[in-house]
Amino acid sequence: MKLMYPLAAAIAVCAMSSSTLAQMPPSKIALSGARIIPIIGDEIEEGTIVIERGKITAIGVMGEVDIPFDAMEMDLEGMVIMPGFIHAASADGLDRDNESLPVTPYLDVYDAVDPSSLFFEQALRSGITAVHVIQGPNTVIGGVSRLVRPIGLSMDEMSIRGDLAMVISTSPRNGFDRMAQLATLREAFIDLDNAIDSLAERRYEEEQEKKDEDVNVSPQEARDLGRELIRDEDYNDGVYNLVRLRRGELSPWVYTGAAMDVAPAIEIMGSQDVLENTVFVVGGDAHKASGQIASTGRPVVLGPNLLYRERDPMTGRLDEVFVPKQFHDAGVTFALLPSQSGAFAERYPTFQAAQCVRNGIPRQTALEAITINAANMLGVGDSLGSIEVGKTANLVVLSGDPLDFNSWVEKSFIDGILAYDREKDTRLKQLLDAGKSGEEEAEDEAEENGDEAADAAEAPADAETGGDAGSDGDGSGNGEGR
Amino acid sequence: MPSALSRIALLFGVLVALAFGVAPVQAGGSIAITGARILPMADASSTAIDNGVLIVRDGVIVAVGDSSTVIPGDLPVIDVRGATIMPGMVIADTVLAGRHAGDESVSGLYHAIDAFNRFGDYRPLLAEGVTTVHLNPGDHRLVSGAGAVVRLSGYWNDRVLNAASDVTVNLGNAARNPPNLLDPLSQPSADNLIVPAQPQRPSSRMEEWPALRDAIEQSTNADASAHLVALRRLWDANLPMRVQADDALDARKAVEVFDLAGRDGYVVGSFDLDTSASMLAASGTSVVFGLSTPVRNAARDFGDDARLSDPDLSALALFDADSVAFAPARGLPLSDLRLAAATALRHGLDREFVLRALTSNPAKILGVGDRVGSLAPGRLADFVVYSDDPLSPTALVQRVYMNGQLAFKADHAGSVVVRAGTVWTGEGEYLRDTEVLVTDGKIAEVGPRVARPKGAIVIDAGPDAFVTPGFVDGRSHLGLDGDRSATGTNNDLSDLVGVPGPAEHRVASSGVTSVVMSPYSFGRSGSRLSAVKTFGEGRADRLIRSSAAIALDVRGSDPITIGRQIEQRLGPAKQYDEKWKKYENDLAEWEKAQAEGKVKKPAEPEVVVDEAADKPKADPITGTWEMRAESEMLPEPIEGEVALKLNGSEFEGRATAPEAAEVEHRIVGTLDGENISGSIEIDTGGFGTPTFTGTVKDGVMEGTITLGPITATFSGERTSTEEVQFRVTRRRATGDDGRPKPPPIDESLEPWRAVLAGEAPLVVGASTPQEIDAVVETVAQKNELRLVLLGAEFADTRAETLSGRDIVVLTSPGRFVRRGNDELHLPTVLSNAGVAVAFQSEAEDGARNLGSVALFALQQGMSPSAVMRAMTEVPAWAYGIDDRVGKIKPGLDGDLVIFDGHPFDASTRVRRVLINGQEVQP
Repeated sequence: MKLMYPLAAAIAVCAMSSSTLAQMPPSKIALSGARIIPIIGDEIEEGTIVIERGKITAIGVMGEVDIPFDAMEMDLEGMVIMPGFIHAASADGLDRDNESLPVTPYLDVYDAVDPSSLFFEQALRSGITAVHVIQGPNTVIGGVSRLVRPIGLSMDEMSIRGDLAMVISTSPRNGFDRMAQLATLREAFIDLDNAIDSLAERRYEEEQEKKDEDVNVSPQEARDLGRELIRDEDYNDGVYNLVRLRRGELSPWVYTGAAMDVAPAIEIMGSQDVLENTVFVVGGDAHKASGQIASTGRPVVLGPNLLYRERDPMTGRLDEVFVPKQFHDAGVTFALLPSQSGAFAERYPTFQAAQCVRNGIPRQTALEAITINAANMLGVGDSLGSIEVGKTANLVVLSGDPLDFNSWVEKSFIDGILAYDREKDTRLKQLLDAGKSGEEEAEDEAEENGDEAADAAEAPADAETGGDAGSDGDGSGNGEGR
Repeated sequence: MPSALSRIALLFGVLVALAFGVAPVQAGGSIAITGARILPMADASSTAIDNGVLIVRDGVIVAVGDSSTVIPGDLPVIDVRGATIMPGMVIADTVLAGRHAGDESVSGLYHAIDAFNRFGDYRPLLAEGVTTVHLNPGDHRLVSGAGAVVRLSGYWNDRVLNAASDVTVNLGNAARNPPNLLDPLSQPSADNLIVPAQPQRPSSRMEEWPALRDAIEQSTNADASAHLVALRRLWDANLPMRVQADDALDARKAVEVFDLAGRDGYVVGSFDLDTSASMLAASGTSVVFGLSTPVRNAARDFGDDARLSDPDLSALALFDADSVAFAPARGLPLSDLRLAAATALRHGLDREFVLRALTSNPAKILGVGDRVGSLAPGRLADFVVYSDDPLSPTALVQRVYMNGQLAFKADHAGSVVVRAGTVWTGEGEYLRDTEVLVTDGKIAEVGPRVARPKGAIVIDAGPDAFVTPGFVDGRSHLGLDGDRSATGTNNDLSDLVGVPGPAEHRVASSGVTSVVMSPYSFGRSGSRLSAVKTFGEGRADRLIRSSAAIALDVRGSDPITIGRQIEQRLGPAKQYDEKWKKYENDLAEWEKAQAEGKVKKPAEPEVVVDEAADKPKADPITGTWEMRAESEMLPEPIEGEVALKLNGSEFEGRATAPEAAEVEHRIVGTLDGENISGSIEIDTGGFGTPTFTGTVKDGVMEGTITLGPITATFSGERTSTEEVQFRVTRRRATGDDGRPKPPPIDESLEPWRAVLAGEAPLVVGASTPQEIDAVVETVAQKNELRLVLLGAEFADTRAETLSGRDIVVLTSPGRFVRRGNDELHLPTVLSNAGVAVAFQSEAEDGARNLGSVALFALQQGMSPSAVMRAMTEVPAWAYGIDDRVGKIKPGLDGDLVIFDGHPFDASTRVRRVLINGQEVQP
């Protein structure tokens, strides 16, 4: 009986996703009347955004923007439009965060992302329109990451961009200490050089063989000569990905779970000439090294827990530090992560940003930390992260100010497609209804109706009821969200 | 693409760069430290500098010298008189980095520096006087990796002294059986099979060197593993070999290995010296020796095991003086190292040898001797301020400076130890070479050696110093700010006492720690005097006794009337006192009766009517209220009008019950913020009195009424704020259970009670012999009260009477009286005649001169001990505050004055003053 309910819900969400994608989007849409927070550029109190073929083609004050005659017009009066939020690093779309082997550069999250993961649905519901799927920190060198849309039935459909970053950790993974962790990391780069050397030697010999010539140079010379002869296809996946890392085609996202892990990260990334592409994913007391990170000029991704607590070794007093403020004061650009496992409120990027404002960070900085900053770190700042003409139409429509916790996500547009509409959010409705009528009833209903749950969700939505139940739904949402 | 080699070089190059601080360095502190005994440990010839000066600029020492060293004017000077300064200890063997988790028997890839937290808070180690440590990557593998030398505080980038300081080799047991090595393939295939786990070497002591030699040789091979490639880098950097040994055999083997490998190195361990010292010493090898002490496991028995014995450290003397370092043996807490080193003195090692083994020698062995481990120009300003000689078991770490900045400061936990050549306790004796321990403001111990509670501040004033109790000024106007008006007995002068100002500070710094506050002139019915401290955090801290005495002046009166005058004052006081005595007796009896269960039945309350009505004020209660009470228990709600009146926090009112409109019920209650509570006096026919609790706010009252099991809720609205006149009633103080009620307090008579009880004296101004006679007769003889005579110009003529009756004469130290053509110095004459004399300043901050004027008394022939007593124990005894001040005796307040010589030498100055154990800051 208990099993039936999630099953019905899963079917419902599949129905929802497929229906949104199956519709051919109108080629032109005009969103009018909402307050526009473009992140880059001034806010517009009552504005219009025109989307053509998935791109933003015009933004301006309502009435001053020419709306194409064939555009589908949407009245969003009283609402707020922002660029879709970007989840800067998540392993939640994967079946597991990390492999058991410490060094796995040959992996690509492409092979493991589960499009039906409830995580994506929840992401969509909280206004996230792009998720950077990357392995977790319990590794030494992990696989290659990918930026995906939280909609779609296959990886290819979801993919925005692959070959983005490679996760590297300087904090000890399970069973390792720091000496072993860093020794393994250095070893991986030494082994990489050895692998390239032997490949170079082999390639030289192969070429000589082709030319029917003898190999009559020393191994060292053969390596030097052969290095030029290596073609990309000669590398195996692991070596190739590390080579691409060195070339700057992949950026290292280095997990530093403590301040003391920052210095080795800088040292080792520096030794590989990739410090200029590095993004620090920080945790623990890493804010103590904010000055050190600032000296590299590189950005950070902050863990979901923004408050750091530490006991004074002499007095036993518990001290609290608000982490984003430390990085902000040090002049470091940061992106905020929503939490999937933490308190309910922290699952919303807007709540994370609001906490920052509450603790003395300017509003603009806090909003950038859930939008454009992650886009820039991922190298997609030219198409995502802000509302500008020419950018991809990834938008989130909120019922009110993004930092007001009473605001909720009304709609999301991804590539100009209406990817989420609260009125058609069947699971949310189900959760809220269950919260209202008691869980037993909902379960009974789910059992009786089985597949019909999806149909029931199609019933016309009562916007007001949904709104009222927004806060009531918290409890039940907490239990069923993931 | 850069070659593999250059990348690896870069990988290690960064390590080296880190070691030498290429990255930004934060500027250190600039200070001058004076007054301490400095142990520089700089070179073989440098000896301790008494009263030395240490000058630090930007975190680096620029000068170490004696007191003649010129201190640049721009530096803040910190005076740590009596302390000893030594370089921070350098511990050449610690387990701070832990053991690396790798399996390789031989690897250069493990760097201990990777396990060092550059942002860590190491104050617990600083608190032991340790500022620099060596980190090793573990003692569990033949070559466990590279060690590092780090400092335990400071800017993150300044902390690393050497990121790769040595190749750590272990010849001990743990390294002899490494686990089999499995090298997992990330992408195994048919061509690339998974190989079984490989056994590793060495498995015996014999194989240790061959395994090491082979690894070093193989490290140059093209197919060498990353672990060996890394070892080659360390080897080529010519790092010293650090050999960690378990026993004497390992230690001797180490010397062979240095020889075979052609490398310098040093041996680390806690091993039998009898069989190894001569060989190690002869080879010129340095040793980091692990010291142990039996204090933590004193009950360890050797039994019949002949192989065990306590280590004999005397063999260490065979080594060169600079080639032995001490570290704690494995398992010994770092906090015990100093004690272990101190006990090494018992093995015949000399002090200098032991101190160097904790500082300059380990620094030199670790290759950082040019930066830490000694105090000399150019070295980093990492030093520790000890309360005493560092090898004294009771010496405490008071401060630790790193880079010339304060990195640790001990909480002094309320304890101060003062040590001086002479202590005048006031018990009639001078104690030589004595220490005084003050804990929580009170003197706890006086003796040749006192306890050193953890965190105690130790003030070693030196052999010439002289410590006396804080001076007590017998009568002062300090704090009156020139207000010359007379005060009565109801005026408490100690109400003027607060946070000390500059005047108090001047007086306190002069050694006068307590004053008896007196008005300039006394009131007709007497004035109250208060005894207070001259320094403290506030009134509570400074108050000794608010009623220290009552003062009268009878000078100029007709001697015949003096007795009557005094009796007139005493009369009401005695009556008042009797009331209190009766109450106390009654109370004692009642309590006894209650304890025996014989308490009287509650008496009927007697109601009296107070005609006086208070003036109306706007307040939250006063006025007319429409009230309504309802309850399930009531058939219908009760409604009625209530008139209330607030008086202070008490309110009283009249309610009109609906069924008996003419009967008024009395309501009494209290108002606490917005909360009200009280009772309604209504005849309930034996059910008791209804009580109510509730809140009142903005003219609305709500709450519940309780009568036994019945509760009702009530609410009311104020319809008028006009006060309704009704007679205010008070209940006479006859408690319900017969408990006696105290008599009303009379502020002007209250201080007399202490006088009548003999706890405080009556201070009487009297001058002529007749006046003195009359006063003595009335006060001391008839009423048997304690008496202090003020003025007392002719006291010398009545010396016999006065000396026989413990009467104290209060006088200025420089008081002369004329007898015919002679000028007599009154204090001298009186004290020679056996009269107790106490000194007074009769000044505000002029009290600071009390000590100087005392010299004058001395000059006039008064005995030094009488002078001292007149400023300490006599005034304390006279005012009955000798349970707090006046002597140096356990249980009394920690008020001490430290002189740099005998207090009665003209050249002597007050050096430091402690009041309640707190030093009066200069």
